[in-house]
Amino acid sequence: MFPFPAVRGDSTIGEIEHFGSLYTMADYETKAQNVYLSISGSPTAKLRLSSTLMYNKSTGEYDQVNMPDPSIEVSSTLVDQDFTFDDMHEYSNLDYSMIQVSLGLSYKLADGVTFTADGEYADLTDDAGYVYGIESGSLFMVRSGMKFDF
Amino acid sequence: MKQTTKAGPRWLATALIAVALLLMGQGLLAGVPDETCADCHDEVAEGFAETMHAKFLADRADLEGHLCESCHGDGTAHVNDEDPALIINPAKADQFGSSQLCMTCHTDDQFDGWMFSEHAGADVNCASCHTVHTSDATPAAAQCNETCYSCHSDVRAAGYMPSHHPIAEGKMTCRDCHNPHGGSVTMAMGDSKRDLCLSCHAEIEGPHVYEHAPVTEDCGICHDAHGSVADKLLKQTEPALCLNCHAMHFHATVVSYDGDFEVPMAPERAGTSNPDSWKSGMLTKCTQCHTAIHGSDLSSQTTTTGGNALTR
Amino acid sequence: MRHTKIFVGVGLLLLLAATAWGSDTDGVTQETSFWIGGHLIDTSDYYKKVGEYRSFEEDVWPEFGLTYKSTTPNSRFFFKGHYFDRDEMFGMISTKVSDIFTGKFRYNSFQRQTGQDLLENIEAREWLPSVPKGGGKILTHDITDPDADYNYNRKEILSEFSALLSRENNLRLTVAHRAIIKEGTEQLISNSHCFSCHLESKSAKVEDRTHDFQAGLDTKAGNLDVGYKFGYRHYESTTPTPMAYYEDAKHPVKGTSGAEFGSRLNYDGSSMPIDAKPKIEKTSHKARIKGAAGKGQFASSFALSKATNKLTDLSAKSWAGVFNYAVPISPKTRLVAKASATSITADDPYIDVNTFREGKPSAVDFDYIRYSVLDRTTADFTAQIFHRLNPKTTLSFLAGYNRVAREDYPVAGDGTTSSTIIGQAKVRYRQGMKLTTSFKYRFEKTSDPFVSGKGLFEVPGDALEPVHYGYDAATGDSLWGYFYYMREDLWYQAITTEPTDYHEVNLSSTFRPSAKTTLNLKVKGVIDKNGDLDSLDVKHSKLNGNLSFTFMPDLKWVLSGGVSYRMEKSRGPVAVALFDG
Repeated sequence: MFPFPAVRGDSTIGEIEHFGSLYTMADYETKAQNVYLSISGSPTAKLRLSSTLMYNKSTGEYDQVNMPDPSIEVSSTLVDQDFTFDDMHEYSNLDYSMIQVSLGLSYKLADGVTFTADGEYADLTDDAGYVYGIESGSLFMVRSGMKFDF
Repeated sequence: MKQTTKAGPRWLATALIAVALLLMGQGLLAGVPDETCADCHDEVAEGFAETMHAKFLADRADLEGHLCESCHGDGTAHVNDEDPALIINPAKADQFGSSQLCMTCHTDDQFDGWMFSEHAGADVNCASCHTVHTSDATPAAAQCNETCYSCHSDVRAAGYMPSHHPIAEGKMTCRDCHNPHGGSVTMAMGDSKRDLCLSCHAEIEGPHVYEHAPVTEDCGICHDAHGSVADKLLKQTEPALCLNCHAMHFHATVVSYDGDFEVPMAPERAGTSNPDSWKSGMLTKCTQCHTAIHGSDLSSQTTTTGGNALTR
Repeated sequence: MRHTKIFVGVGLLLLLAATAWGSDTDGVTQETSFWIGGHLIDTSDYYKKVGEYRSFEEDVWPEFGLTYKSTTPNSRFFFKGHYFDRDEMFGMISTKVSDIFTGKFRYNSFQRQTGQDLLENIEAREWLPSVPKGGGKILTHDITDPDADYNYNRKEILSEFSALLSRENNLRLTVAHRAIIKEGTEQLISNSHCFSCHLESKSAKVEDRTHDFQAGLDTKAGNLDVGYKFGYRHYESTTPTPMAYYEDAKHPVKGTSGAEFGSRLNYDGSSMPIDAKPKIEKTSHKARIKGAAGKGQFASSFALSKATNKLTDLSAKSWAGVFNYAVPISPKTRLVAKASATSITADDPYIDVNTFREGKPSAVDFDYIRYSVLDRTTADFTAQIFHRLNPKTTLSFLAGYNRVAREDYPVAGDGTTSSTIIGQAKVRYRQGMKLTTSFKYRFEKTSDPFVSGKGLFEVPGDALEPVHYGYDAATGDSLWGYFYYMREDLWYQAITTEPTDYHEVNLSSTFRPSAKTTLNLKVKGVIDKNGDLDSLDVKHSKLNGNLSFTFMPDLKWVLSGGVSYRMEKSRGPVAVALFDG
């Protein structure tokens, strides 16, 4: 067994009060779900298509911290301290969802000459901002070009 | 010729490979020539001609005209009976003696650990990842991760977590940290996981005057290298992670004033406090103050910790 | 950077020379592929999280790519390069000349967005009954550069060469160099005590350089493969060490008691360096040997290394030995045994700390020797038996032992030497190419797992003797009490939330119902707990499930996908000292 109880002490002498530790147990849980799908193919000899889809949902949550009541054994000089932590689980909870889609095609115009194009879209939703603020945002990129083989 | 898929006894394959290894060592391969193999396996032969294996071994006198047998062993019985069981198939090699074939030539230190590796123990063989009969025998950087993900699908998912190494973005490959052949990884100066991380994150190596014990123990105590929900690959977000080992800051019990306040000594620092302000200040992110969490050579300000609070 | 340029330049010349020398004008095949195009990037809201590893220059930008491959009967040359923008480039050259020479050069750069901690939670004033409008402790912050765009560019330049010096004994020389260069800006936060607890954020340049150099010789000695490798690493930051001003110590409200507060601090009223990045050098020597022993094969290595912090001249020396042995016990049974041992010894500096309450009755000198937590000796041993039960089924059993003895570890009592016994059983079933399934169970039992110093809990204050700290001005009586520093002696240091009992189950299955379809299922579950802390109920659990598929309806199309679920739950203590804040 643990060698001391959760609440201890009774000392009121001197400049600074000190009594021991108060503690409780709390769960921290992270969850993540991920889905991805990829399709690629060549419907004709000249055309090649590809696409991917990725979705991720991630959360990190602290259970509410319910400290025992310290007043049982603690001297009155600690009355002006607050040993309740009812809201601390909310300070750093995390809740992200992200979707990424990409599409690509290449079309062979002639021997050794291929047209390529692809696009990418990513969107992140932050439902529980942390010290960086709400980090929701998205990006979009399109790219095209010509490939020469020789 | 139609090939059957009848599996031969493994002991026979093992014995065949042992003989092949012996003969290769003696330079005495002399079963059937490559042309005979190509009579039936013409597509394989055509692709193989473009490979580095074919090109670089072509001038080896001891293998002349018998390149197929250099890996597949004496093909005489197989040619006579057309039985797949009578030829070595490295793609079916397993840990019971037949996964050493490629290692007879590939002897450098990256393969030192193969026989003792998790991959070998799971009967993964060279052909599981490498296509020896075509010109691209080694999975290219872009394909490397996909090759690994075909079995390690959990790692693919982890790579899409909010915090991750830039593998999904194509800036890193699995091989930057893992040697699938069981040997050491480029530039890692040791065999521990910590040595591996320090090979890129060299600034953490120290030794520092002020240390943080888990940093010297195992990076994996706090970080999940494959991906995490919390920033910086942390297994949990702060302060939950820190509270596993440390009591919270004792100022977290300070009762907060509700309203605007001024700092008497510095009026420009006026602010707004609410009843939860001291708690959110002390219990949101420990590294806002303890910035040098991986170790520091600079003393922290208060004497009571002996300068070891890792605050600068 | 100069060394990198020289090494890269010489390396590229070597590559080209070797390739030219190895080229055979007959039978040369060349393939070139050139791509030219452009990209357009657009972002909305906060893009630094969604594009953490992207460079962002909105608008349309040109982009190039080139692939060149040349093969001759005895050589191969391959180049691949891609220019996305000035912050994101990739280039690779590899060449091989017969079995005589191989060379590889790789350049890779990318941008990382790091975001800015807004410090908005650092703003508080203490409420005191005597000062209902707010008094007592103050917590404030200041962002000096709110518009800063924190990011850095990471460049990695790798060059590897290998040359066959003698075919007779396969004597081969390998040389490698890698440079990692980080350049950008980062957020630095300094915090000043007393006066007011104040956090200040500012921008700082990042210019980090890491150089790794390795050179080795490998050869065959009879039936043995032996080798030696020398390694050298150099890390430094080339920016001046940032400075931060630490205010004069004084009472945050009254502005008095400067001397009293000052005696509790190591420094105040001065500019001090922060975030000092020391120059670090590390050298290593590693010898290896591999060969046959009896019916089995072994591989062994022994390494010596030394890391030195050039700022403080502290060093850590280590050695590591590894011996692995695999042997067939019968045609159906195989043993793999692994043993390794390491030792690290680090310097223990003397720490000179300001005297607390100097000149007063309760003055304390906190000077101490910092014994390094790096110091340790470890030993690992595992033995694993693989047995083929039948052509389709393989069983394996593993037994292992791990010991970490942490010498000079600053934790009182138990917890300095951890011992772990490991057991694992695995069954693997393979039905041709159609089905492969494996199931694994693993347990680890640890006594005295790693303890983080400065534990979770304090013993009650009345376990300490109060100290005499002054005299009552009116009566002249002695005053006795407790101080913050005394709490340092109060921590129970042998408590850890690291697990003593670890259980893992792992199911992996690959099913190919047809030549066109592959299904893959992986499930992993982990439960661990600290059985030594019954009243704390510390435990962790993990569940990870993955289902993926690949479907190729014909030679033209490939569909693949998957779903995964990951849950990690950790039950741990939340502790606070019963203290007057």
